[in-house]
Amino acid sequence: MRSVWAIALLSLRTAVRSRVVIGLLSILVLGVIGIPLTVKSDGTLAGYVQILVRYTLGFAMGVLLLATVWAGCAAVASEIQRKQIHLLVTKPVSGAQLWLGKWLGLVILNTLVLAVCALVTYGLLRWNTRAGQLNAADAQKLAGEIMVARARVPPAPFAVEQRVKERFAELQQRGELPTNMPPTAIYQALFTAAQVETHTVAPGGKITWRFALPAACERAPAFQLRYNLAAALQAPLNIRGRWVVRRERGGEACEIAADHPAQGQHSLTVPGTALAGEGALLVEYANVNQEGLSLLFDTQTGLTMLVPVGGWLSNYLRALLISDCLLALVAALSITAGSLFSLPVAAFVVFQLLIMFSTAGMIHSLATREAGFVAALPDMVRTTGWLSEAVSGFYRGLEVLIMPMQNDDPLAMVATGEWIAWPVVAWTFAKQIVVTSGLLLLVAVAALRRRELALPTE
Amino acid sequence: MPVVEARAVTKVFRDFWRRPKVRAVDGISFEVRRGEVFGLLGPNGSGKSTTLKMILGLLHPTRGQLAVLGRSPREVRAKARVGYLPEESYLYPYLTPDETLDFYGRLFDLNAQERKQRTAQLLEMLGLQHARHRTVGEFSKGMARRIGLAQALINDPDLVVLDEPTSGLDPLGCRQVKDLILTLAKRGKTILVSSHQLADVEDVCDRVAILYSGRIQAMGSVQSLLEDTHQCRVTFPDLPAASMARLLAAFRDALGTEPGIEHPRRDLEQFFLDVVEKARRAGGESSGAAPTQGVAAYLKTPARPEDALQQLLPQAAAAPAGAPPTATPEAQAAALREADEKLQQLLKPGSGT
Ligand SMILES: Nc1ncnc2c1ncn2[C@@H]1O[C@H](COP(=O)(O)OP(=O)(O)OP(=O)(O)O)[C@@H](O)[C@H]1O
Ligand SMILES: [Mg+2]
Repeated sequence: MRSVWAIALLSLRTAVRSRVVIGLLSILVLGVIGIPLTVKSDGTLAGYVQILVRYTLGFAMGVLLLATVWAGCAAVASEIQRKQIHLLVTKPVSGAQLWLGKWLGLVILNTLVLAVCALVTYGLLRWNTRAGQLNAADAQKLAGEIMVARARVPPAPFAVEQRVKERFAELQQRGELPTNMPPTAIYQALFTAAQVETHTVAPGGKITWRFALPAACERAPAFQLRYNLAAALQAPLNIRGRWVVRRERGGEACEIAADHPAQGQHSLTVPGTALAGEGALLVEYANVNQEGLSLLFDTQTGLTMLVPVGGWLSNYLRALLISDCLLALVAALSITAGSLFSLPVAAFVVFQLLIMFSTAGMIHSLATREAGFVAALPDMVRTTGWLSEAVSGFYRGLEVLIMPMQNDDPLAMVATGEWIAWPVVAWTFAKQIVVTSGLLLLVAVAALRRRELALPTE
Repeated sequence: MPVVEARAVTKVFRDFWRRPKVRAVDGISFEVRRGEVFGLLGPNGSGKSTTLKMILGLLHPTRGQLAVLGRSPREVRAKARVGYLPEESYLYPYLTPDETLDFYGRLFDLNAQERKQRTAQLLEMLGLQHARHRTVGEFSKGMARRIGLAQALINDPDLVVLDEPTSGLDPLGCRQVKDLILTLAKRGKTILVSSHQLADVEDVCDRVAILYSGRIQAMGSVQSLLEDTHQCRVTFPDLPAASMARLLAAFRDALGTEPGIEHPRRDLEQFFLDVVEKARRAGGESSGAAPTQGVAAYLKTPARPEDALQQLLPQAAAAPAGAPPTATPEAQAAALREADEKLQQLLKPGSGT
């Protein structure tokens, strides 16, 4: 352990004494202070918090990621290049100790720098929203809606699977299945139809959702219900409805009238007092329009309940921890790359991997969000031959490897007051540090054992 | 068990496509025994450094077997008892000598107190204590070399591998390093040096192997390799002309030819050392490495102050250069016993190495 610390401290010392790191820190400080001053927000308080937390800290993360790739690749590669490794590996230091020392040094440095940036950001946020700086309405909004940590609870999905299956079997029996569509596409179409059906409220009709609330929100002062109506509805008039919210186990109900245009996202505040105690909520919407109008709730983003479950500051801390895990993972990847290749090659490989990482995520989300794409994908592949089959197979392989690594941008979540649970932090730590970095360590150790470290690198 | 054992070791360097490029070492076999100073001698590019790097696990032999202290050189455990000075100083330029030695001491798992003590002693021994707060990057080549030597000794190793230890050193430093090597050898340490400075090798090595294009051309004890049994040299003080004439006449009678006569010359090394010593006495200041005497105390056997080894340095400085170390078999055996004691002490749990 003494060797690991010695190497970690040496890396820190290298960093502190190298001009590159000093330059980097200046860029960071300039950015963290400069971005909120120069970037214009939409003028709202929420917009300001977004800029500060999401973009400013996001910028710091970006700079740190780049620096980590560079420093990580250089950690072992440049020691080999400058032959300083000759004096390291002729001491009783194993490959694993060398790797861990380098990694720990980078992780400590990243954590320190990120912590400084986070503190400055938080300080700016508090200073610019200090008492006397905001009007009463804004101050209330800040405390109640912005600097909060709210869980996003979706309603229990309507059970449409069964209905779709029955309908499919019925069509099949009657021989009415369209012959020009592959079965997956037919199924998909039937599924969409069933979803639309369950999300539609006829005039005078009702629709009820069930929300299972987390136990943590027992004493929450208020919940917020967000909903979207299908945007295709271009009614020039206001939509009128009546919401009734009650606990599943019975008790007081709370009634709220809604009267607004169809477009956009709507939200209403449900007082928590009436509903205190754990359990599930039943939310009912009654269509009370006079004009005989049917309403369709968006099938994907129809309803969400935002439930306050904790403080903003601890949420911020968790977001930072998750960000730090990402930096540590990139450090591990870079150090391993630097143990396998010379410096420019290693940096190139890491950037390639990071690019693949992000495009795989994009393709995955395209594939899952666009239902039609999913349905069409196997078909497309089948008709265009082995090459695209290979490509899509490759990407699916990547998805299996990479998707578990992806998580929602924690800074975006904390900026919009979305709750990040501790298990998410633990899960991120487990998969990015324990498993992936552990595997990367093993790869590096095997490489260092095989390599003749006195050979010159080109 | 020999400390280093090489059996038919070959090293072929390959290019990117794994085609053989250079056969740097070609089937060499030798062994280095415990307590001896073994020299690898050879012209530039003869494979000395390549051999040493294989012994340290920095390169892997293409063919043949290597064992260091009974283990494969690639094993981590074997390295705790080895010290290595590479052919050039590969130090971290932004560290001071203190920090450098402290760092390498930590890699040997020495505790803070030991590191501090040894660092101070080594810096004093190598004449760098006044430069201990400057960074190594700004050191002259010879000063950096001294730091390299210090890091090779920080763990009080059993086997010291020195790749051209005197390169870049001033004559004073060369002399000091040679004396150091002799001292370490007397303490039971095994030393493997490479050099193309013939005088250096002759001064310190018990046995040498002469390498040329990767092969051992000659190997044996320095004494046996250099002794010319067909000639004798007689040395006596300058005599009055008459006595001299008589002596010469006697030689002429016995030999039947004229004997060769000349005044013995001091060699340049000794002369240089005398000049520097005089200048130092006169109070000259230098920002470089300071001339020093003595050996770091932790490298000694503290229980025996009367140890002849301790006086070795001053003695050696007074003796004419080039005189091979003479030792009777009894004295050698005693030295070996001493060395064993020292080894046992070092290996005692808690001694830190
Ligand atoms: N990495 C390498 N790739 C190719 N050839 C090499 C490599 N390292 C050494 N050589 C070659 O191996 C031979 C032996 O080199 P080595 O460094 O062992 O010589 P040396 O005896 O130490 O010489 P010097 O006295 O100059 O230090 C040389 O011909 C050298 O060019
Ligand atoms: Mg050499």
